[in-house]
Amino acid sequence: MALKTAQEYIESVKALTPRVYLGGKRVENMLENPVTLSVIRATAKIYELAEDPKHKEVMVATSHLTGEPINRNLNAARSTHDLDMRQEMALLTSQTVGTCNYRCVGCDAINGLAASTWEMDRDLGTDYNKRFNTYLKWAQSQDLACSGAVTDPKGDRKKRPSQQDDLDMHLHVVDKRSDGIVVRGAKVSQSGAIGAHETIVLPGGALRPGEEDFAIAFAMPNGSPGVTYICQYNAYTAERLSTDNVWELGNPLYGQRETSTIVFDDVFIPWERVFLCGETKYCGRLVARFAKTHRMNCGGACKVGFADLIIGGCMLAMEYSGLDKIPHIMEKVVDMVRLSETSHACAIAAALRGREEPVGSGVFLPDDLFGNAAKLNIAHGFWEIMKNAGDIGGGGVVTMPRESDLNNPEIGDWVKKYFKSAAPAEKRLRVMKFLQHWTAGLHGPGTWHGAGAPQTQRVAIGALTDFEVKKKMAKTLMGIKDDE
Amino acid sequence: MNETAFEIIKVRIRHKASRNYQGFGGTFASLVDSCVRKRALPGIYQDGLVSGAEVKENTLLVMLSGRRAERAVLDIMDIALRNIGAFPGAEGRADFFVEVK
Repeated sequence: MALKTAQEYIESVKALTPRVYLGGKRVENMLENPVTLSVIRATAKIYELAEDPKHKEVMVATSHLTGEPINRNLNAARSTHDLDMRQEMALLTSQTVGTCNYRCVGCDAINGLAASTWEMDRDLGTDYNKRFNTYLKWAQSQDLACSGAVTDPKGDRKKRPSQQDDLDMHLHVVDKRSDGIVVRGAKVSQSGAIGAHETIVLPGGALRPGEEDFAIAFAMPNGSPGVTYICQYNAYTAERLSTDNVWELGNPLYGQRETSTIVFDDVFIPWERVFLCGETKYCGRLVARFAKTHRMNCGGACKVGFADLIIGGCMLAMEYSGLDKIPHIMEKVVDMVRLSETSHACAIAAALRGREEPVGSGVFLPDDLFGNAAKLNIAHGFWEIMKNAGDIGGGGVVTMPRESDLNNPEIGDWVKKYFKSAAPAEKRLRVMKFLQHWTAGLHGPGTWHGAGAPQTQRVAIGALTDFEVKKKMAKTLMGIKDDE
Repeated sequence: MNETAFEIIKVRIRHKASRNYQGFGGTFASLVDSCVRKRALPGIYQDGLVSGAEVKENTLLVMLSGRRAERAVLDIMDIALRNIGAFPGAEGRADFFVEVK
């Protein structure tokens, strides 16, 4: 089997019983809890997109390992076309589900590992790339949903991992055995891990000699003994848990972006699934490769898909309120388009200017500068887009009653009367709630921090930019000579 | 480290019922670690369910507490195997065996 259908994915996760906690309670059945169900639904939709012939070019790739068609979420890019289709996949999936493609981080982790395991084998004579390719072939053959885990809790940020009072602040190896390793610690903010079959774990950042125990990358089944998921909990969680009608929620089927903290309580990982263990020198490069890929996709495509939905919602809000012909409001919409399409242009440029890295590996990674520019641009632009959406949507976006009030025998007629405009109250409330979901939900900080907070992109852009060349250009034009 | 990419694991219940699973390399080691070190079955969070476990070469012997029909034990082991990434229905000669009592 190379491609699973959405239904086959759902059947496959029905049999899984990861140890999931949400709101302080154990989730016994992820398909019965409305919050975890939203993750399963969103992931199923990603499988469904790959079934649709009109999305085949974007969603389906050819495995370089087997020549078989595979879901692009399990593809290691081998060309600039692959990179371009990867970022288009991020756009399409966001436009479709309005939340994470929960296979996205796993996909970018696969690409980082494809490059870095090849490099380690070349430099060190290890067999990580062979192991990784064997694993990837397995994942592709089963069309597994792989999430990705990178961010450690970090503890006291002034201290290095090995200086922490509690070493568990960074995921680390506590035992090395002939059959595998045992790891302890946690990874935070893991999007959709609960609905995946597997999680691919990377080190949290660059490491130094002496920090070998923290230098680990591996893949694990999500039901691995010792793994616990503690889900995020917020007002939208409570709202979804309490409603008896999901259609009154901002993103009815797929929800807000759902993440969890993954706790690794002495989890055994067999060597076959270990792709880096102790090679501190290669951690920074591995994470940087993951990051540039993820910044292209997350910043330059995924959030652009969200922006498309917000813009669509704003246009409907204007139409339903009778404001669709007002020029100064359209100017705001055009500004939203400018902000999002600029980021998308950066993602396209990052893909088309991508190159083989390391040379000889066959793995293609996006252009670093454009990828970082895409993410930094949208991090700021998304707040601007949300501001305009809140402006266009009006105060009702946060002061509206719930849609179910329309059916209340005591107040329903008033809600219908006072919330109608150029369209009936039902439509207006639905679109107001949609805009509330975007402007007053989790997406602002999510976009800011996802794929790394903007400061990390500034550091990358600063390092990638040759400022001396720019100074020289300016001096040449001004006629300033170096000896003056 | 197991040199083959995939493993076929045969689960046998008191020599009366059996089912084959295919897992990625290291799946049997994960099951052994779970039952012997953690004294728990993957995906089943019930204290004391595994009353004993030992491994002899390529066979894991698991003793479960309480009395259950073969079918019920097979279902318990199905959850355990799937949660460590093994899928039922594998054909071919088994590389590893799990005997459940």
